[in-house]
Amino acid sequence: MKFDNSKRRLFKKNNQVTVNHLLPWIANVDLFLKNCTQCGDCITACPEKIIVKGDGGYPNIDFTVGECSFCGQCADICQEQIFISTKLSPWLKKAQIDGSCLAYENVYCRSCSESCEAQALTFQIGLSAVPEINLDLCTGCGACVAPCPTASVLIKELE
Amino acid sequence: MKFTRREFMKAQAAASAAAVAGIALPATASNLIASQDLTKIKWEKAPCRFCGTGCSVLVGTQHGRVVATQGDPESPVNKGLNCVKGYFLSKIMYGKDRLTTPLLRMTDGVYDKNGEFEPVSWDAAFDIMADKFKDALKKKGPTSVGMFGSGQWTLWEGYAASKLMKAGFRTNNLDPNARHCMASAVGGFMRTFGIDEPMGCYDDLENADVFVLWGSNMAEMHPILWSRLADRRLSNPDVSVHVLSTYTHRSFELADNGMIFTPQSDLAILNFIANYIIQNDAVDKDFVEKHTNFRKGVTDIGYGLRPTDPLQKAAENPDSGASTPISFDEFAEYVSEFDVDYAVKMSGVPAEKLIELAKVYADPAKRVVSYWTMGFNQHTRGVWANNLMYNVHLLTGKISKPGSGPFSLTGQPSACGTAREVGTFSHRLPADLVVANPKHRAIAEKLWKLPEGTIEPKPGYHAVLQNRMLKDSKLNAYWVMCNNNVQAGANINEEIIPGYRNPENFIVVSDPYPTVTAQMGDLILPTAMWVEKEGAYGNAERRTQFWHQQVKAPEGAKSDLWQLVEFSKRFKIEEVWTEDLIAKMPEVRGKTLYDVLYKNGQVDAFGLEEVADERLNDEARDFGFYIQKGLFEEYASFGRGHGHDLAPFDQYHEARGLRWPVVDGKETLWRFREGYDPYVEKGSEVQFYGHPDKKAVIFALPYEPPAESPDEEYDLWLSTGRVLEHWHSGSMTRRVPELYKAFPDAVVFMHPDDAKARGVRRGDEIVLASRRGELTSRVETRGRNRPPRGLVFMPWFDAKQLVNKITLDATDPLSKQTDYKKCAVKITKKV
Repeated sequence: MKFDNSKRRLFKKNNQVTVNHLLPWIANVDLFLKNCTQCGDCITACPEKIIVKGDGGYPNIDFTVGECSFCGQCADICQEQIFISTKLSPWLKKAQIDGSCLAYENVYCRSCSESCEAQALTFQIGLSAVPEINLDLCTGCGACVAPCPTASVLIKELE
Repeated sequence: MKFTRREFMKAQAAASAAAVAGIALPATASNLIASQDLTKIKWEKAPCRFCGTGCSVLVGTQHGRVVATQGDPESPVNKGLNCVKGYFLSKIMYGKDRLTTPLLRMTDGVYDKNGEFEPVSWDAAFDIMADKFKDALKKKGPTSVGMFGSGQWTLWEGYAASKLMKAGFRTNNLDPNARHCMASAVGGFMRTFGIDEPMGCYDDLENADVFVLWGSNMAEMHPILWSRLADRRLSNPDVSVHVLSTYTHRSFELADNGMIFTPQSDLAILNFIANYIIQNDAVDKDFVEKHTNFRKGVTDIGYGLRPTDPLQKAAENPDSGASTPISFDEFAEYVSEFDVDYAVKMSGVPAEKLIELAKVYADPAKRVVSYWTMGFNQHTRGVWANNLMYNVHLLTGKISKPGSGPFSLTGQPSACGTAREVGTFSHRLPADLVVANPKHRAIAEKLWKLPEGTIEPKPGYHAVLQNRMLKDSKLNAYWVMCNNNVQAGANINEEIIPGYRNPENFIVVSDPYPTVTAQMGDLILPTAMWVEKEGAYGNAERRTQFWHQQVKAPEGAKSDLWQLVEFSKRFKIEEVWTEDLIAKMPEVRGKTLYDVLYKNGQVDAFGLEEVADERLNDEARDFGFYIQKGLFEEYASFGRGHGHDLAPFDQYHEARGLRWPVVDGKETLWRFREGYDPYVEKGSEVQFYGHPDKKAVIFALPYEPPAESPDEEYDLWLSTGRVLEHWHSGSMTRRVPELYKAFPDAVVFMHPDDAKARGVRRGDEIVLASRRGELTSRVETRGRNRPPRGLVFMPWFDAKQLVNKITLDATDPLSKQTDYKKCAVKITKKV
């Protein structure tokens, strides 16, 4: 792999152009960094308006704004060799709930509850309603991220 | 609920500390703050500021600010649990737009109804306000002044307001926003039992075999009670849950028998159940014989609209609650028409589901609790629905015992305590007394040390009527306190805004924030809230809970209590009372309302020595006596010995609340039942002592149609309600960033096929319109509420989307409570 010094800082700060925030149908991060011209077409094309200019000017997804509907318009509009076919699986992202979720503190919240169209996110009802994610059903669309009052839902690319 | 206090505190400590700092703390950080900072936080109890459940929270204060709250592990109500609103309570007082100075509409430095809001001093604010009240009193008399109060007032605030209005200004034009919330429940209780408020308590949650939810989405609106119910259901496989609603909501998740019925047909279902009980020989004959009477109510009672409204004119017995005695056999004959076929036809619920429901009520071995909230109460036949519900429990004797009984839940923290028990309604006085009864007026006048004839016998303007009278220029000086009625009252375009902006009226709004209502007023008074003052609330299970002032209010903001009492100093008795009345008690001459109402030897009976030096109590120190204690003790004298006994003031500061009647230091869990209720005579088993013959009434009442139903043009039902994350009009919760984020904007929940038929997709902008107004919103076809075809649901917390422009102001003619659950609308795609 050729080392591009100018883009080195991208890898220094976490959380920005990490794989967790990559657009769908990007199989190869290097190819994305190499070929993306930062033209902003995907940002304009996204009907959900969840693609934003991230660190270094590269587009990435902000799930706190909304969810990916997998419409494929970002991939379709892109003129560069970045995206794979939208007929393939868009990504391996899955939702993950961390320990700061209020349910673990006997707080009845459930704000994320019905956000999941795939019905991967369910609540075990009881004295305290605790969330569960079925990873087989989860599409990583991110619909459960925005409503969370404590920012406890993370979307992560499976290794 | 097995955790001990110690274990709980350990687990909660770090979590609460995290909430101190704000939202987006990463998970790892929440463990780091702990020890050192925690020791600096002072924790003290207070009931939650939001719904009527009455959870107790521990309030953490540091450097004069509330920095965290957590569920109180010692509370018998929530047992350490908390909902997401309660978790973020610490932030409701710190919105960026908190008001700290009175604001008056002015042009060139003088009051002008069409001017812009400008800061004025409290003195200047009270000057203009007193002028306007005096002017109205002089020109048109006591009926031209009035006040709209609150089920969120502390007990003593409601009590002080009641004295100021009913005795001071001698107007009964005082009504609480609780009118929108549980007036029908009150009407039902008074009509059936002759005494207000539920006989049971939350302990029923751990004792019932069957739970039936009638028009209550407990899973969102009373989540802590729902947690307790879910715990009971899930740990006991024999327990069953029945849920009735006009649309599918979260409570259906736990429903063994979920039923979606056509709006208004609950009346038919209730009568069917009564009929089923009789037909299947399930009547508890001994109970019915000993403890009930039967009566037939008049029908065709109208819709509580203006007398000129065609619908109102068409009614044969408008506003009538009259009834005549009948026999059991006549009652049986009356309900016999309500067979299962009729109930199915009216409700659209499959017969087997209705029969399954009727069976649990009829089965003598099953303990059944029925819960309801706004589904019954915001109903043009709300009092009837309450009466019919009681019929079912009375016929089977399933009432006033552990695990069995009808229970109306409340939506405001002190709807029971302040609105109902203190009696801040236009027809009421403390402890179930009413202004129309001369004996009751005499009791109040004696306890208040006022001359006979001070209190006017005619009930004042109720909530909806106040708006109509403002519009008609009959009510001219008006104080709105601790509520957001421009966002909460119905039909604002036609009936509210015209009254607030009527040039003949002066509208004062007291609130911590510039709400929709405040902005519609002429003078805004900045208000201290929650633990910025000492307070007391009464929850839905008759539990009275106190809290101490824990922080200072922002400089310039004053509590409702201070405002009411301070304002009374502006009035000389001669300016408000007639010479005839003064002549009956000449010693009041020259005194102010403050002297007569609050420095009366009772309210000022407890000195500052009773307030510990290290305690904050701004009102007590301002007035020079322990005013909260004085007001409470004077108020409590109304109910002690009359079935409404409250414990001594100091005891409440120690206890996690006590359920009245509190006799000999003991609270009452189930009223009307020997062994639990000290007011029931030995050997009588049950006494419904609200009525002189100690019997409850079973009412024969029919189905009558709603005020408005969908037609060709307005082809959908609209039902309104709430969401878990926001409380009522959202004036507090929408200022908490985390709660705002969790549910930012109101949406219209709709069936996907209904959306498709109108060419709209999820998220599309739409216009929701009724005959009264329209608004722009977005469609939601997924999510927590799934309406059937033909009905849409919209929550009303969102000040940008005022759904009360759409709703109609038809009320229950008996309770005067508005029906917010049914009106006809149409939806079109916004172009």
